Amino acid sequence: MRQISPLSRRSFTTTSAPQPVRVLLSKSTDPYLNLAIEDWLFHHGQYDKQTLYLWRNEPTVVIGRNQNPWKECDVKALERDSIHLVRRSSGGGAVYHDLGNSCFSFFSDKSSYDKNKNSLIICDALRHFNITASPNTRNDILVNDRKISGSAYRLSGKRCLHHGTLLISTHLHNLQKYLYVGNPYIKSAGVASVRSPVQNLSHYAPMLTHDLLMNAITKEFFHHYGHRCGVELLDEEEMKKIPQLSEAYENLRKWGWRFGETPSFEHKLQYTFLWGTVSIHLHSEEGRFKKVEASSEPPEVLEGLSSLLEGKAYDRHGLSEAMEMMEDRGSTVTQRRREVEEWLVREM
Amino acid sequence: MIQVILILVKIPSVKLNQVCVRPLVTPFRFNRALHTTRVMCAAQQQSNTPDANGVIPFILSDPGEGIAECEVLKWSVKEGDKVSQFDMLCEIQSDKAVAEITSRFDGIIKKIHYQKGQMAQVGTPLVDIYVGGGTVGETISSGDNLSPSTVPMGSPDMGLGGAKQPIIQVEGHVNSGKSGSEEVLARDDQKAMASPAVRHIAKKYGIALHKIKPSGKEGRITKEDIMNYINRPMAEEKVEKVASSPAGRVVEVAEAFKSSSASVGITEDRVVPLSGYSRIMAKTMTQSLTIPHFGLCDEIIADGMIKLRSQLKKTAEEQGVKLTYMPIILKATSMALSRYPQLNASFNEGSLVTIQKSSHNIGVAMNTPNGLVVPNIKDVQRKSILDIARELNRLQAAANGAGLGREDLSGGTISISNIGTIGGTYASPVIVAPEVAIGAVGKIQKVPRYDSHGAVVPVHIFNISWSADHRVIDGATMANFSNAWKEYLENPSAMLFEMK
Repeated sequence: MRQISPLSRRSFTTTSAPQPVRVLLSKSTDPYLNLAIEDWLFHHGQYDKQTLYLWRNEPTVVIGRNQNPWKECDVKALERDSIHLVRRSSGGGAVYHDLGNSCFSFFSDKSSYDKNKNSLIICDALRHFNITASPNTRNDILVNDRKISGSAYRLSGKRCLHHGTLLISTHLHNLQKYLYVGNPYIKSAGVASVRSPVQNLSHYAPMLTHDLLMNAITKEFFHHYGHRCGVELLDEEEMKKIPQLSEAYENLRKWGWRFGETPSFEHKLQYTFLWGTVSIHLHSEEGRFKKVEASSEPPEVLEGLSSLLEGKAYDRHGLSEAMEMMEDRGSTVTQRRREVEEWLVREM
Repeated sequence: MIQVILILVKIPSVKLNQVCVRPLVTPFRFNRALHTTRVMCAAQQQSNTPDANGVIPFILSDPGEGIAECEVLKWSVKEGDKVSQFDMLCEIQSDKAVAEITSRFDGIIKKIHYQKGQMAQVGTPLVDIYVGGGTVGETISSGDNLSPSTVPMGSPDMGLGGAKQPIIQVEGHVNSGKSGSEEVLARDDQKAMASPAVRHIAKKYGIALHKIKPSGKEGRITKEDIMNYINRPMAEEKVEKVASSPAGRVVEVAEAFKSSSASVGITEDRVVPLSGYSRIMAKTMTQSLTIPHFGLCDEIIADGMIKLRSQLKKTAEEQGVKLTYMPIILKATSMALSRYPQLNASFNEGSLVTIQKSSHNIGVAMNTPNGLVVPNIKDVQRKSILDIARELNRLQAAANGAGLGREDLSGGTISISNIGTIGGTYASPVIVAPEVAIGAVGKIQKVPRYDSHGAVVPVHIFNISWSADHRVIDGATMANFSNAWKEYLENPSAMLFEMK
């Protein structure tokens, strides 16, 4: 294996004319806050500077702007294990973050936006640790055909954001535990995740840490833009005092954004219990039940549920509310309804 | 259940080579690849002049990369709404990029061509805006390179080393570390971003737009900015530094990325239930101290080992491996065990049987954020020092990050603790059942000793403290083993001589 010693390394990119830079590092691991900071930088940052923002989250599943959370991940398991569920404003697929995963965000002016160059800055930083990485056509970064970084983008009239992840020492079994490709009974609009085999960078460089890698990325960032600056350390309490930021923070936490922005989908369910059968065909819009056809044999078990579900939130709270409002038909029927509710919550 | 309805549409005022075919789809679609080949309408050019009815079709421009269509995610306006230039119209998505489309014109939304969830074809009208007559001209100037309708999803000319449009250069050399003296002011009025209404007010009061600091979204000048400028205190021109000053404490790169541990005392009693590794440690230690321990300690001259490590360190680093003293110590332990296999055994007190193990699975005590763990390196007798170092790195990274596997934590035959890296000279280590021996290595110190000629010389030494199970190991065996181990470490060439 030919060794590339640090002194003689060549950069992948040609450095362009010098541009002023800004580097920010978040000290918080709160995913809502970190994304709110990103949103604030996107709309209110200094547009004349190439900006790099570095952050990482405590255990979180992050879904893309237009994804369906119920299709992308096990929402109940996330609730049970106290894992955050966050919807970001860029496109792309669902990812699992924990402290072994580091995130980077590049902010550029529209005219100097180059997402491939950003990825090559990351690759140059990885060479500090003798890791040979390169971006593929989807701008994922691969080492030995294993994906160690994925990217997503957000563009507005003047500003471009390219952000992505870096797997350093993430609990990879949690990816399989919490993210899945498809509930086959849900047909939906929106973007599906594209699966790739992943690997942690610490597999190739055992002593690699978040701090070491972020340090290297910052150095390469300065090298490419021909300018240096001090690193701004962002404190949680101070950030929350900024009005536009705290507004973004609150919005990210709202049910309406996280679940309500789900594109429409259909869900067809059927089950045979000991006492009879149940069939439910429901449509969901904006994360709520809309137009439900629920029927059962014997019919009194689910009679009237269809109209009660309409407009309720598409989760077990909405379902539970609707079922409670059903007309009482005796203890046997109530017991059967409870069974149906348990089964439905598992399926949803 | 997709119903595909083909509509033949003839778009006026554009020369077409083919008719546009645009299938309508129901809202409930299956997921599909976004780069499908579809029949594309011949791309229209964005026009700035309204047609006879005062309407301008706003075209979805070509983002490059061969993208033919984008999904409309959300409309921020509806038909009949009044919009100003730069107002957000909608969000669209193409693969992994979400783009905000803002209006180029002031006017009223006349017709939305693609609903939420539909795929908008590049080069076709997204929305029709009624502008009436002539309000458009003054805001769309030829020198304006800030056209918000162009969606730059990786335009083809942004390749490596390709020519780029110059970004707005801020006056003066930027050397940050100074806080916030760089204001983003437009170089001249044409470059300033402001809606026609705002420009009108500025003109009315005779104010040059480039003098005004923008406070709106993405650097736009608002009406309030103009009024604030007019009413600014005459005594001094205090520039509001909030937007451009650093967001947090600014530090040097090296300081930013070193991990810090703050030490704070506790102010009141804290109840800490044992869990995870601590719980396991409590249970195993209780069991361990039922073993009758005896100890043996010695002093090892470390100079040979230090020299060996410094020679090997660079080569190891080139292979991405961090080399400490531990791999050398572990290899010496394994070689000594080959001569004294009684110490690499497992004792069953019920049946009074010791099983001398052929594999030297040497456990290394590690201090992790979750507590003390002792993962082991398998078959040290078959590994080189470099292999051992690599494996040790892997275990350390796993212990501190993703977690150790069951395989790593079981099957150990003897353990070594390097407590000296934290502190201490001699120790009384506790055997990890069902093993029969354990060693604890103290810190390396520089001390004066007599050499063979009786002169006082400085040497580096460290201490070893062995504990063994006195039911199966006697003092002589332990001492002989320790002497062999010491010989290897003080004279690494002896290790090389006997290494298989």
